[in-house]
Amino acid sequence: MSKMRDRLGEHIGPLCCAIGVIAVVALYAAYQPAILSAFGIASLANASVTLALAALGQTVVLMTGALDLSIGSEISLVNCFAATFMGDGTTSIVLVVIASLLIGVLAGAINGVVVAYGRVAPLIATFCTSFVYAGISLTLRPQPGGSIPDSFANLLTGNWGLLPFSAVLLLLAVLVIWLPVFRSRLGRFILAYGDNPDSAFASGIPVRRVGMAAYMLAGLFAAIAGLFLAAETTSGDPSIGNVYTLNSLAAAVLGGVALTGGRGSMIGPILGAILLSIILNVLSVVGISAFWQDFIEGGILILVLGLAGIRLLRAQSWTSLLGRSQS
Amino acid sequence: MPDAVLRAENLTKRYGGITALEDVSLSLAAGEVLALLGANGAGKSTLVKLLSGNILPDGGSIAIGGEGRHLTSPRMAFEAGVATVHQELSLFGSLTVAQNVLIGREERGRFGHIREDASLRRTEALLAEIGVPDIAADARVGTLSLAQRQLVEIAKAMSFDPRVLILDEPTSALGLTDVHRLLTVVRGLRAKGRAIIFISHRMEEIEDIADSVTILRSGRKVGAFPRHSFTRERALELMLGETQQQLHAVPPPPAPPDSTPPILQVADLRLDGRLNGVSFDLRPGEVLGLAGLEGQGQKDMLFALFGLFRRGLRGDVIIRGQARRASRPLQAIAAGLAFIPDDRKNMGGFMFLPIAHNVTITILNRLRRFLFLDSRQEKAVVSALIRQLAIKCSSADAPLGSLSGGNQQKVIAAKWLAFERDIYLFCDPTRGVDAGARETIYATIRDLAAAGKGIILYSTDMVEFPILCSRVLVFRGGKIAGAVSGAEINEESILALSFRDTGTVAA
Repeated sequence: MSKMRDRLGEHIGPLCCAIGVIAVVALYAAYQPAILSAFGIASLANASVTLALAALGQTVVLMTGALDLSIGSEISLVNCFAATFMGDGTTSIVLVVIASLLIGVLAGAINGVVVAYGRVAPLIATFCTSFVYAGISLTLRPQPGGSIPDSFANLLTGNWGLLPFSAVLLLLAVLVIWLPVFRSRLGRFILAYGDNPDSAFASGIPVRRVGMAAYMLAGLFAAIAGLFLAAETTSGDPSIGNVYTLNSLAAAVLGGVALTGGRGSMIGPILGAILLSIILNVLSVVGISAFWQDFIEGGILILVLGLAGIRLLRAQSWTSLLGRSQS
Repeated sequence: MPDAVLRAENLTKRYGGITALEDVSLSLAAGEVLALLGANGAGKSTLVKLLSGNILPDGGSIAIGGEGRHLTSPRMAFEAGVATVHQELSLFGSLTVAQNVLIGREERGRFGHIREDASLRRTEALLAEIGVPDIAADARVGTLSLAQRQLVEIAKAMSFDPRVLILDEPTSALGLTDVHRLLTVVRGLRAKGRAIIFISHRMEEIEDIADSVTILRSGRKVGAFPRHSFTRERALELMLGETQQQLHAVPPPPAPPDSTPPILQVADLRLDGRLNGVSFDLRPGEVLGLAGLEGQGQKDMLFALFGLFRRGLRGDVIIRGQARRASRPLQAIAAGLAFIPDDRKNMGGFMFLPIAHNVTITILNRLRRFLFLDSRQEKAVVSALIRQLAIKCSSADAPLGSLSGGNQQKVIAAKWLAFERDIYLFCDPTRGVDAGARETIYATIRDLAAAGKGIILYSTDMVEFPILCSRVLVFRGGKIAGAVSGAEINEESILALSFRDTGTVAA
């Protein structure tokens, strides 16, 4: 009985998200049936994929027991870079895509060095680097603009019947990056390090390199998100990624990822991202003013992050409850 | 004795099925120093915790100044007149001496603000009263020496103006001069009519300061003497009790012949103050015990070998003829060492991860097929070890945290068995472990020895040495005080070496 409850507890995040997605889509469809058309599905998918990618990146870092507040800036940076240099030729498109991914990984590596080797607390370290990356974005592109070739934009944002290409992109990211990592040594090391850094160290795990790798993976996911945003908006905007920093955290937590590390899945954050994106989408479609949108969004975030701490209230002794807030 | 300040009668404390303290009575008069003596686990700390209000007794009563008291919290013990200086100091390093001593009870002005100068003066008066006017009341505690902090703790305890002062091993970490200073302070407090309970492992201090001595063994009071009829021999005898013959029924693994070249040589290993020149050899197939009272350097020795000290280590560690002193676990593991800690939660396992992943974390390299992990091979390795160590679990996918302490410890042992190392360091492996798991761990140690591994066993449970070790080194003050081997390994010989007078304290 208690075992079943434990099992359920493990998957409660993804499960709630799945139910939430179905409920919100049903309500939305009742209000606006066009949402179930091929175009509607593609636009919902496009709105969700960026956040899903950001949430996956955030999840890798959360699983090590840290967090990444620079994900939004990394997305903006890659977005500005791509919109500025992509040009029209196939060769230049391919080169810029590769360079964009490398920039994401490099930005992640810088985070990793500051956190793992510089021993700066993740919260502060990534908050600081987020300003550095934002500064570079602004230098590249003081105003929103630039251009993205139609071929690239259509490749990522089009649809094939009911199947949006953006969903394929997300699937590819999961198949090519997430699954290999978590079926290999690195994934185990990431989870072990997040579960208990001291045990990891005493087991001979190269803890600092593992911490760095997590940030580099987060940067890679952020880069893909940035490229996708470039295709979606066909331009570069140095502030476009800002909202994804906190939203990625919320999506991950909503999907059942523990802020204390050691636990997390891939499906939870994706469902969390879809749910959160649709809710935000609904808010703007219903015509709620931008101020109230931010207000509600912040409220949802606090609610989700607060709910994640409820589990702690089951602790028996004060010593295990105090000094152990979730972030 | 109508004038007893503290009178405890028939105190009993049980933890689950284990009786930590049974039917212990003692009484203490004003101006008396009562020394409490006993080996590890004799019940001294339990008694202290009961008297200081940290835990409640399951039976018996405590009376202070003739008045029955129910001490439900440390605060209440203070108010009743019992102040305790625990072994682990509880000072805040970034605050000043005065802020520490008067914390929560500062001198306050009309508007509720703290009057720092008045607090300082009151602290200075307290320090002067206990005879240490040289400690500055406005110094930051973090800048003080350990001995000075110990004295600040005493001042803090005295600020409650207690009738009874309990000092739990106040001298265990102090050098000779500091011990003398502390004993002088204690004598001064005695002259002022305080009743003092003094706990120490050092016989010479007890002879120096105690008015009476109470001896505990396995939770019972086994003797009480006034100072003049106390002898070390009698005390040792009482602490020891009858030796448990039946445990010798299983002979330890045989010692390897002297001609076997050593697998590990340690030469003059030092770590500022904690290890003071330790040298020994370990041969393959040998189970070497590290014994002694707690905190004499045995644990530091294992930590040092496994690279858990990143700096400050001096001396040589030679493994198979090569210098392999480690400053991080990765180096130690590469040199062929494995480490099974007593602290499973903090240094051994991953509580949220599945049992299987805990076991294979050290051998993922070997389980690789192309880039990925070979889950079939992993399953085979894990289930073999689960069977070998009789790990009780619903499945290998259950999180480690769902197992009992004993089974968790088996999983951690399994992790290093899978990774076949040459030298196994067992750091109090049976602490908090049930009887079944204990037997499994003993069997594992024997098997490893039979397979020609070198094993070092540090234990706080002395009955383990005679049944497992072919040689035991007894530590005292970060040095090897002596060694016993073969049939001479028993609690008596180990305790005698642990308590042996080093002749350094001139009475």
